[in-house]
Formats: sequence, C-alpha cells, structure tokens
Amino acid sequence: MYATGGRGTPAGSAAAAISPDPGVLAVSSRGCLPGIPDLRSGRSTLRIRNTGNSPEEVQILDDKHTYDYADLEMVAPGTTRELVVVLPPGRFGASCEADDGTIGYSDPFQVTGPAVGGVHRWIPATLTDLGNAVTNYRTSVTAGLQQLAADTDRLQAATGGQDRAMIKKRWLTAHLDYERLGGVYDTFGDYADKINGLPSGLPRGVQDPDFTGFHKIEYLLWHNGSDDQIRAATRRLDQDVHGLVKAFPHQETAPNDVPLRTHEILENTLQLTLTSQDDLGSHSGLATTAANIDGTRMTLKALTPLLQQNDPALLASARQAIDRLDAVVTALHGPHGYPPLRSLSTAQRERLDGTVSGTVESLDPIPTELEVLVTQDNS
Amino acid sequence: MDETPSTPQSPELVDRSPELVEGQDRTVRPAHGSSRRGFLLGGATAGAAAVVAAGRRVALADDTRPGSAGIAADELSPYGPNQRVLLNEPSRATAMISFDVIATGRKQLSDLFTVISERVKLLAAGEPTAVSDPSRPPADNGILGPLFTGNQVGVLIGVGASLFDHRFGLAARRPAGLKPMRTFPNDNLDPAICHGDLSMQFTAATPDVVTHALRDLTKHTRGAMQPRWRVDGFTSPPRPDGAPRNLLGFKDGTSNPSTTDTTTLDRLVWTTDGGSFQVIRIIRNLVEFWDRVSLQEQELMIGRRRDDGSPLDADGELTAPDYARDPQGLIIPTDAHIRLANPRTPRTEATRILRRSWNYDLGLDSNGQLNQGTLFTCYQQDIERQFEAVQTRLIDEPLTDYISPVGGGYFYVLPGLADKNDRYAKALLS
Repeated sequence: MYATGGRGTPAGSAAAAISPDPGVLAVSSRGCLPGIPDLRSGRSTLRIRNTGNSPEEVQILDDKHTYDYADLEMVAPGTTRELVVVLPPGRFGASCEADDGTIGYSDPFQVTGPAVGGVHRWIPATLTDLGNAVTNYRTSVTAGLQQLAADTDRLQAATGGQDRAMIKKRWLTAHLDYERLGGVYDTFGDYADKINGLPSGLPRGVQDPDFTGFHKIEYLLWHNGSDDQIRAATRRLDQDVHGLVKAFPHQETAPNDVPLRTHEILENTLQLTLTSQDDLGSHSGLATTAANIDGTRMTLKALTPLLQQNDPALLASARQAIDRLDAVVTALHGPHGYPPLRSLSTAQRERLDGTVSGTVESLDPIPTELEVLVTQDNS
Repeated sequence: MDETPSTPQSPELVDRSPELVEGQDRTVRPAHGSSRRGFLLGGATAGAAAVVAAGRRVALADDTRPGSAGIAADELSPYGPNQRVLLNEPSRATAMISFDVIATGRKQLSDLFTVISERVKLLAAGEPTAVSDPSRPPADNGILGPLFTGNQVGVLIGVGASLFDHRFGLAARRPAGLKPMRTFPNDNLDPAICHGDLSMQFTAATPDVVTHALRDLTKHTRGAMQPRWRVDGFTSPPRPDGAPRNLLGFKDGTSNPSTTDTTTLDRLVWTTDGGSFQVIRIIRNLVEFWDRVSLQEQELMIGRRRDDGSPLDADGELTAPDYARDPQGLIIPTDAHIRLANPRTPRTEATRILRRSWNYDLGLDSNGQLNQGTLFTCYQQDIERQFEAVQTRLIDEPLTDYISPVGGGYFYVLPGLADKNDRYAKALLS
C-alpha cells in the first residue's frame, strides 16, 4: 500500500551514532567541499556554503561514481544549505556541478560504523536517459494521435445523421482516445484546452465562445443541444485534432515531463474526474479513469529501461500499484460498460478513491528521483 | 507567540474608548425590542445594549488579552477615518461572511447599516450578557460567558458591486472601480461562494470570540440580509519564527507594504475618501498533490526555501531577492510565484497590494480529499491597477497546478466610524 522509494523512509538514526558536525563545507569553482571529513554510518547532515559565483549542485556518490545517495540541487551563490544523507559503511565522494556543467569532485571520504537501515541509492538519470524516454513516449503518442484523429472523423461523420445514441458512443470512444494521452498536455500547448478544456476559468462558463472540444460536445449531447450546435462543435474538434496531429512532430516535450506525468495523470483523475468536475453529462468518469490508467502505463513503459537500470525496486512497486488499481477499476465494469460514479456504493467509492490515492503515493518518487534540474527550461 | 496565557487587562486597555460608553447609553432601547422578530419594524437597534456602563466596570476579568495575537488593541477599534482593522497582521481566528441584502428600499437599507453600526460599537465596547428580561430569550449568545468585555474582535465591513444595482437607487453612488470579481483563466469558481452585497470579516485571537461576534451580527440583522457564503480561517504561530506558514508548508506574508508609513498607505491602500478595496479569494490548495512533489520543485515554484523562508538567492527570510542579479532566472526562476507576484521593479511598485491571508479547512471533498486552502484577502486603492495586475502576471504560473481559486469577491471597505454617532455607509446613503 505504501511507497517503497527513498522518500519518507525512516533514516535509521537509531542504528548508528550521529556523525559529528563537520562545520560548514564550501563549494565553488575552486573546490568541491574541501576538507570533507570521514563520517559515521547512518544519518549525517552536511552544511554546505556556496562561496563562488555560480549555482552548484552537490551529490554524494559511491567511490565509483555510480550510485547517488543524496542530492542538494541548486545551492545559490552566497547561501548555505543542508544536505541530509544516510550512508552505509564504505568509501564515498562528493561531486559538485556548476551551472555551466563543469563538474568537480571532492577528496574521497570514509564512512565507518555498523550497517544501517534506511539507505537509499539510485543511479541518477542523465538528460540523455530522459531524452530516450521522451523519444519512446512520443512514438506511443504519435500512434495514439492517429487513432484519435480516425475516431473524431467517425464522430463527425455520425453527426450527419440523427442517431444520438451513435453520436454519444463515438464521442466516448474518441474522448477516451484523448484521455489515454494524458501525459503530454503541456506539449500540446493551446490544443490541450481547445480539445479537452473545461468551462471553468472562462468568464461565461459553458456559454463561453472559447469553450470548445470534447466537453463542449458532451455538454451539448447531454443537454439537448441542437443538431447544428453539435455539428459545429464536432467540426471544430475534428479540425483541432487534425491540427494537433500536424503540429505534434514540431512540439517539444520537456525532458522531465515523462517522469512527472507518471503520477500527474492520475492526480488529475483524482482532482477532476473522481469529483465529477469534468462530467458535463456523460457520467463516463469510470471509463475516463480506466483510460487515465492506460495513459499512466504508457509513461511508465517509456521509463521502464531507465528505471530497470537505475532503481528496479521503484519500478516494481510502481507496476504493482498500477496493477492493483487497474483490478479495482476493471471489477466495476458491468455488462453495459462502466456505471456512473454516483451509482457506486460507499464501499466501492472508498475503494476506488483510496486506491487511486494510494497509487499516486507509490508513483511520486519517480519524478523526484529521475528529475534532472533544468532551471533554464521555464521559458 | 504561542498561546500566550491570559493576562489581566491593564486599565489603559479598558479605558481606551470612554466616549463609546456614553454613546451606548444614549442608544439603549427596551431590552425586549427583539431584533430577531422586529428588524424591519425598526425595533432592532441594540436590543442587548442595556446598562453598558456596567459592562465597562467588569471589563477587568477578561479571558484573552487582545495583544496576545500581535494585534495592538487600538487597531480593533472601529473608530477613525479608515477601518484600520484591515492593517492588522492576520489574527489566529477569523470568519469571512458575505451577505445579500433582502431589505427593500433605501430606508430599510439605511436601517440595516444602523443596526450593523450599533452592533459593531457594542462589540467594541463590551456588554453584560446576563439575562435582563426573563420573558425573552437571552439577548447574548453566551459563548463568551457572563462577562464579555469589548475590544477583542476586529470587524471589517465592505460592500459589493451588486449593492449598487437598481434595488436601492445607488447606481450613481458606486465607488469608482468597484465591480464584480472577474474570472481569471486558472479559476474554478463556484457561484455559491462568490460575490455578495456585503462582506463582513471578524478577527480575533480565539475562535470563540469570532463566533460570538458572528452570531451577534447575524442575529440582529436577520430578515434584512441573508448569509450567502462563509469561510472561517486560522493562522498558525510562527514555526519557528517569522511569517506564519500556509498549508503548503511555506511562510506566507513575509513581504508586504508598510502598514505604519502613512505615505505608503495613502499611495497603495486607502482611497481618497478613507475606504479601501478588498479582494477575497478562496483558494483551494491541492494539498495531497502538493505533498507528492519534490521539495526542489516546490521551492522553484515558490521562489523561497521551505525551511526558513529565505529567497532562493540569499539567506534569511527578510533578505530581499535580487532579481537584477539573476535576469535569466537561474536561481529564482522567472516564473516563480514571488517573482511574478512582485517583480520589485520601479514600474511594478504601484501594483503592490497589502496581503492578509488565513488558512482554511472545510473538511473533505466529495472523493475524500482534504478540502483545505488559503483564505486570501488583499487591500488596495485600485483593484485593476493592483490586484488584477498582480493576478494577470500570475496567470499560468507553475503553481496553478496545485492551487485552485474556487470563490471570493470584490468589495469596497467603507470608511471607519467617525465617532459614536456615525454609522457605516452614511455618506453613500445620505
């Protein structure tokens, strides 16, 4: 049920004496923590002051520079920050990376004392690693977009006739195609709001001219919108989807996006779908939840080679959590599809809401661990 | 500052508004002039005000010293050119309530403001709460026990743009710049907790004092105005020092314009007629989601360290960030909350606002998520020039994924009561 990653793990302080305070260690282009002392095994707190002119990132690594035990990201010039690390007995060193990418290393230091619990180590991801994950992920998205475009075409074709049940069915199919792509909403730029925006935040709400896309059509279909209104909204959606298909190859996906989305897709499910805020009448929240689980699996799949190498235990716990959630949701599927959320019993609702919550708790170490600091990337 | 033990009030505190007591003596009505049943007939004014002088004499045995939450006693006074209560640091406890007026016509509206004014004066002066007429239900709710001394609760009265519609013939009197709160792109507003004809805020060092005042004001105004929405708030003691923390775990309220420099207040807060514009925003914090975000990312979104409130480029909560030294945002990102909210440039100086925020906790969302957030208020001379300029800069800031404005409104805080004979909105209604 609980996250098994590095975060929140008790630091084994009982297992070993607290290391003596080594005083304030300096980092700058002139040196990486000169005079770093030997430490006792267990939890240590290092006070690090940036005496240089450029932000520095400090890591504690094993002596082969393979595994990372602690990160202190972005120590600004002139500031002092604390780095907390739990170390087992052995030989370690620190690396100090300046803003321009130059890396300095400290002298090695020795950790002595008994074996301790609460040690977490992982192989830090590189921008190249994340770039590969992005490439994998975008391949899946490209395929998903083709399916989405085909299904919005079919939706638009259905609006030529009078069969509302058919239109609603095709709406749901196409909408779920989109919900499976949840991991890229930032990449999609303005298309995300045009295609799947909600009326909140628009001055005139559901009547606002900027309210377009799946939820606009949903609103019309389930609130007796006219054929003309539905046709116009569907045509607009189809255009926007095809616009996105064309634009996507030229849109950039930020390197940290894929790890972030491993839990963020389901965060949105929790915030918008399981509160019915994104239900404009179709009551298809459970189907959306199932699609969001698929979308989460897609992000995890793209990260699998990286996690397999860097932190296999984290990968295993993430997969286990998603499988458990998938089973809970699938069990709610009935002979006529998914029932409306509000028809679930209290016990079913609690199990659903609680399992989604537990799953995001299990997934949240992934971005923290794989994230590569790119402060320039906020243009 | 943590829960200061009760201290007997000094005579100085008790004697702060002697003129008020005289004024109360003059407004005493028969105790059975039941406001609850008789408001619209004009019998409501100060039903519980009998023998206020006695209340003054027993004022020494109070439970909480007003100064214990860092609020100077004189800043709870409703008297003066401005409602200076808004300048106080956020109190430990507050209730923010919005009302719609259901009285009809200018005369009834005027009567309503008279009652509100009398109750505020009474709360400031104190009152005995013993039952004076056993043939009627008690006039006081008794929440503060038999001895309620005054000067414990701050009351802040504002009016919304909707008060200036056709109902009372006040359209031409609408304060320039007062309008309904607009919808910003990241908002998720629930109409049930937006806007209102009147805003009323109660602030005190303990929740019971807030509740006492809230119950008193609503009791005496029933039939004339109807509560529309309400949010209670709290602030926390310093952890361990400096500004109190919000529910995101960060210190909030570190950087604000001076509240003692009259030039600053006249430039940023007060309107020329002694009022101020109040913006209320009920901002849900998606606390579960937030707690699943790395500290690094949290700090980059805010622009400050979580542990001690320092800006990311310096040590010390009170050290000003130096954006000029970091134009690319390598240390404090250009889209960090503190940087967008207050870029600290000469050009943005006139957009500064006086922020007063409380935390709120409204139980649970429909799916078991904690319904917690920030009861954000701010004060300014000009909503468009100040709050809306700040909020426009904040559109799509990275923090928007973790916060969700769900309600609030724009109000005009009326000038203060000039003296014991004055009433709120006198100038508007004359």
